[in-house]
Amino acid sequence: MTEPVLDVRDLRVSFRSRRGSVRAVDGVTFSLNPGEILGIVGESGCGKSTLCSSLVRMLPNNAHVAGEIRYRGENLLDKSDQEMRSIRGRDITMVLQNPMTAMDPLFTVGSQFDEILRHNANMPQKTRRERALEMMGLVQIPSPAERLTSYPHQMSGGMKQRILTAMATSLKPGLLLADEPTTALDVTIQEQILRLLADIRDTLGTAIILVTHDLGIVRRLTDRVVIMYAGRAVETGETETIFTEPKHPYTRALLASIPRIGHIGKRLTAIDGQIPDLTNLPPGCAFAPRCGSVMPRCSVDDPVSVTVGPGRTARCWLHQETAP
Amino acid sequence: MRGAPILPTGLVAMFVLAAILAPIIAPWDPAEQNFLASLSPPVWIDEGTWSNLLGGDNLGRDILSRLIYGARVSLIIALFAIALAGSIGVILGLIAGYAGGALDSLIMRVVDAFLAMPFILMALGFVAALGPSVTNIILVMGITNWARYARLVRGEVLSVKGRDYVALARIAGQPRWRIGLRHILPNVANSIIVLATLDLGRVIILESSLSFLGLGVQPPEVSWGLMLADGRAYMTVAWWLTVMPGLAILLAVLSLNIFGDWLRDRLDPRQSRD
Repeated sequence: MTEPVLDVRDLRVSFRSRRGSVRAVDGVTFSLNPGEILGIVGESGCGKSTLCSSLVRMLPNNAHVAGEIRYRGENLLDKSDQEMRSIRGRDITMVLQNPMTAMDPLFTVGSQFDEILRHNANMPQKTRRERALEMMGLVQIPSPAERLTSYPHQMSGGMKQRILTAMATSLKPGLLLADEPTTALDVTIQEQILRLLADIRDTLGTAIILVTHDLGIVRRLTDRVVIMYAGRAVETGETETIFTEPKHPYTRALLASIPRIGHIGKRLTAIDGQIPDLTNLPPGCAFAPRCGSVMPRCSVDDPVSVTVGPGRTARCWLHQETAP
Repeated sequence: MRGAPILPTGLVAMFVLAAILAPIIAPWDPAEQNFLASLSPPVWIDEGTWSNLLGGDNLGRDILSRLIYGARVSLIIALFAIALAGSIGVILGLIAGYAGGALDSLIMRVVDAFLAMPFILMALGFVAALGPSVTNIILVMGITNWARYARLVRGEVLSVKGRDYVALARIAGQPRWRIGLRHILPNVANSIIVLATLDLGRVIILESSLSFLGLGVQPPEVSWGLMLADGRAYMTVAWWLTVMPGLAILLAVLSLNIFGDWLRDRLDPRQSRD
C-alpha cells in the first residue's frame, strides 16, 4: 500500500467571534493517495472552503485549528510559518473559484507566471520561460508565447482558469486544492477545466481535492468523497459505492435531489429546512431537524463516525450498531 | 490624455510651464523696484503701460513677473509638501491596512487626531518653533497633511488585501512584504495619484494662507499669498494688487481640481477596465 499524500485526522477548526466560538469544521478525517481525486461535497456554509483553507493554513487570525494534517507524513500544524511558506506554492497549491479576480490586473500573465516559478524554484530565467510555455501548452492555450505577454483582462474566464491551473501545477505539486474551480464558468468551459484536472492527475500524478456542490462532477471525476454537513464529515468513502449505496440519510437526500432527465412533470426533490446556524447548533446530530429517518436519540446525542464498510465511514445513529 | 478637459488642462500646463520657465519668460526681476511703476494699473486701464502688463505694486515691482515667480514657489512647495505627506501617509496606511490589529488601531487613532486638529493652529505652532522658510513650510505641510493619505491607503489596502490574487500570491508562498509592495501598493496607486492631484490645489491654498499670515514665504521670495497680504492695504486705491494674485490662486486651484476630477474618472478601474 502506498503512503498517502495527505492524511487528515480529526481536524477541527473553530473561529472565535463575539457571539462565541463557531465550529466550522468538526472532527473531519480522511486521507488521500497520490494521483487520487477527492471530492468534498456539501451545501453552502458547511465548511468546505474553510477545510480547504485550513490545509494550507490560510485562515484568519481568529481561527483555531486542532487535529492533524499530515502531508507526506509530516504534520503541517507543527510547521513554522517559514516552512509553511515553502510548502505552499511548491508542494500544495490552489485553484480558486473565480478566475476573473485571481490574477493581478496590473501585470502580464507571463510576469505572474514567472513570479511563481522564480519564487518557488531555483531556475534560471530561460528555464522558467520554457517551463511556463510548456505548462501553457499542457493546458492547451493556443499560441502560448503570445499569451504570456497578455494582460488578464484580455482573456476569457475559461482561458484564465486554465492558465491559473497551469501556474498552480507548474512545479508538480503533490496536492492541488481546487475550490469550486468551475462554479464561475459556463458549462462548456466547466467541461474543459474538469478534463484538464483529470489530465493533470494522469500526467503529473498530482492528488487533487475538489471542493464542489455539483454531484455530477463528483461522480464523474472523483475517486473518493467526503460529504460534509454543518462542519462534520457525515459520510466518507469511495465515490462509486457512496453513489450506489448511500449510508447516511443526508447523502441519500442529496442524491435524491439531483434532477434527472426523463422525470418530466415531476416536482424536484428538495431537502426541507435550512442548514443550522453554526453558532447555535442543535444538541445531538446537526442533521436531525431535517432528517427523514430521525430517531428520538438523534436530537439528544451526537453520533460519532463509524466504519460502515471498507474505507467507508458514516456519522449516524442508524449505523452505530454495525460498529465493530 | 484623450478626453481631458481642454481649458483646465491648458491652464494647468501654463501654470507648470510658467513655474519651470520663470527666469526666461518673466519680463522683470520680481524683486526689482521701479518707483515710476509704483501702483501703475494694468495695461488696459487708462494710465497702464506695456512695460507692466498687469500693473505694478506699491513698490513698483512688476505684478506679472511676481505672479510667474510665485507660481514657481507655489508649485515647488506644493510638490514637495505632497511628496512628503504622501510618503508618510502611504507608508503608515499600508502598514495599518496590511498589518491590522493593534498597530492599525494605533495608527488610525493618530490619523483621527491629526484630522481633528485645525491646520492653521498646528502650522502656527510649527512655524513659531522652526521659523518661517520655504523648507519649513514644506515640512509643516508634509507633517500636517499625511493623515488623509494614510486613511485613503488603509481603506484601499483593506479592499485589495481581500482580492483573490493576493490570496493566491500567499498560497504561492510569497512573503508578506513582497505581496504588499508588488501586488497591493501598485493596485492602490491610482487612488494615491488622484488624491495627490486634488491635494495640489488644496496645498496651494494652504501655502497662500500661511504666506498671507506672514508664516510662510518671506520676502524677497514671492508667493501669491504674500502678494495678497502686501496688496491688502491698497485694495481701495489699486485693486489689481490683490485681484491679480487672487485670480491666479483661483484659476490654478480650480483647474487643478477639475483636472483631478477627470483623472479620477479616467483611472477608476470600474470605468476604464472590463
